[in-house]
Amino acid sequence: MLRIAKALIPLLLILVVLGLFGAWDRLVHGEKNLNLGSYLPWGLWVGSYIYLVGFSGGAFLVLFLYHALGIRSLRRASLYALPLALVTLGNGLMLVLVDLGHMERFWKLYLQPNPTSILVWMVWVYSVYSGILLAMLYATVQGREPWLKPLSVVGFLLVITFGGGEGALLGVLGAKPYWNSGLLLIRFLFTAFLSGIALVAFTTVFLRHWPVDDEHRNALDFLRYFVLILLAVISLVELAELSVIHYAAIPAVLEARRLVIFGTYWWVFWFGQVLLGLVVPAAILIPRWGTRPFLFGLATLSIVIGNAASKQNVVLPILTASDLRTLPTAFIHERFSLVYHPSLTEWLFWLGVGAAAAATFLILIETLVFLQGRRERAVVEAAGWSR
Amino acid sequence: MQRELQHAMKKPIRERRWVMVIDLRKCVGCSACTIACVAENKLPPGVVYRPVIEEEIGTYPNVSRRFTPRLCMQCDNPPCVSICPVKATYKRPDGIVEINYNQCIGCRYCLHACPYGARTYDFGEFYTLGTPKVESYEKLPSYEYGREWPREEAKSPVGNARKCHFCNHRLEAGMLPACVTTCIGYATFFGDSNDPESLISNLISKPNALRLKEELGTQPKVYYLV
Repeated sequence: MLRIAKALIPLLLILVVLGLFGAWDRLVHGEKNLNLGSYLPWGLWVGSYIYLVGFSGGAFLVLFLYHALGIRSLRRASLYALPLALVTLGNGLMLVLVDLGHMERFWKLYLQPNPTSILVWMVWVYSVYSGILLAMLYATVQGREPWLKPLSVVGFLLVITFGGGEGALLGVLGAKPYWNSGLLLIRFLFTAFLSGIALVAFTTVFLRHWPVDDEHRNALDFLRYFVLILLAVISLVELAELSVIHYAAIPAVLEARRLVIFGTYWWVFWFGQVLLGLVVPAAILIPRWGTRPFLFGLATLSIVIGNAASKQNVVLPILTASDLRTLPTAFIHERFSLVYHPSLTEWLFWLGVGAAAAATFLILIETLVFLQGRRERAVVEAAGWSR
Repeated sequence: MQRELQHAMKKPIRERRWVMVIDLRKCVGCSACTIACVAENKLPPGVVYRPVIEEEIGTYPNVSRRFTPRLCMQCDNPPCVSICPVKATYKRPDGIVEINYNQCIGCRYCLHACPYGARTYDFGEFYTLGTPKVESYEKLPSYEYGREWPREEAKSPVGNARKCHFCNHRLEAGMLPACVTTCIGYATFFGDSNDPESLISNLISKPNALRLKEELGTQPKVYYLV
């Protein structure tokens, strides 16, 4: 086992125990101890779900590139991408499940659905996608290589569906002019790709089970170009959005944009989205030193954090703009506040689920790398080769 | 209005079309309607169906105030209905947008979809929470949608989206909505717009009858006289 994994797992287990307090509080006291309200009905959990499923979709892109398109340099990264796709999806779905007022009625989404609701379609797509991931895990563990290509193709189609669908979830809401744009789908899809690939790259740099050899360098080189292209695409989308909003000058949309840039959460935009999400990775990756594994790892970590901030930025600041001016002052109660800070229950549960996901990932990569190593050794021995 | 209501209730539900009209020139911003609604529907802390929005218009010394009671608009094209993932909210034949509390999963997606911010969420709070005992009067049932809803932990309507329903439990009993009967300035009117002779039909045909955010095409059934 990796030394860093040995050190991290006990720490993660402590966080899981803390998370159990959050889960206990949520189950026993309902939603009373959540700092949400009627004007800010979604918070840390839903905001995190949005980027966690994006991580999953982006990580799956690595699987698609390796298994379906045959990009061999991603062989090792694909071993990490599968557990990452699984645990980030599980983490996100767990957070959004607990956010429901009546979790026990979850089955209604399958048996009494409303097909005109995009939320229902998302749940169905996630369900099939989870099945694909589990089937791929089974195929990887059992060494059933031929299964992986068709599974990765179907999985990738689902990733495109829910990657854009995440944006559509907000984009279809005509009541929120800032969200109500087709561009949101494109933005969500590409930020999902970028953040997921960055997360895979980060783990292959800092949690690798292999030496820094040519295969490792080739993989990083490929990922570096891929990340740079995605950064350029996302910058273009941002620019397109910004210019259309600015020149269209629709007051409600301009106001929402102003809140993103200068509102309560201005620091999330400037330090998270712009600095960590764009400037730092571009400054590291564009020059030649971007090929150095350590710096590359730092750049991808910066993207992971920056994109998390970017996704939170789409949700939180927009909700601080009221549907009707002065409505929030019409009836005074803390549940009608336009300021949101997650409660202790929210933080604890969030940390606990995240830690459980991270611990599962560390255990899964140990297992998969071990199985892969054993399989390769068996092939070598059967062929009578010597190392 | 009372007589017209009772007349309308004799018709099949499909032939009624409930409409509310609020005369902003008469509203004094006393919030009696808000309180009457809270009392009638036994609303918990953090849930309100009919707040009164106060706006100050102009700058000193040319200042005036405007009061706009804001309730669920019972839209004919309600954005909250199509996005509900489990068909927990739907349009009744008489035009009221209803929430089936026992069907609602509490995802709060509809809260975002409403352009009027008319939906609030029941987080399960009690006014006497944190005191030695949650008082029993807080657990008395409300009669929304013609059913008894005792207030218990983790039971609907706790954990559900909630909103104005034109007091349809009162309509069934031949009574006007609580906000209408409580309004001290006769600023709120209610009736069946399918009856061409009714007061409400007369009021909504006036050129000064406006609806909020008409441009969205939601076709609200609440009009404002300005």
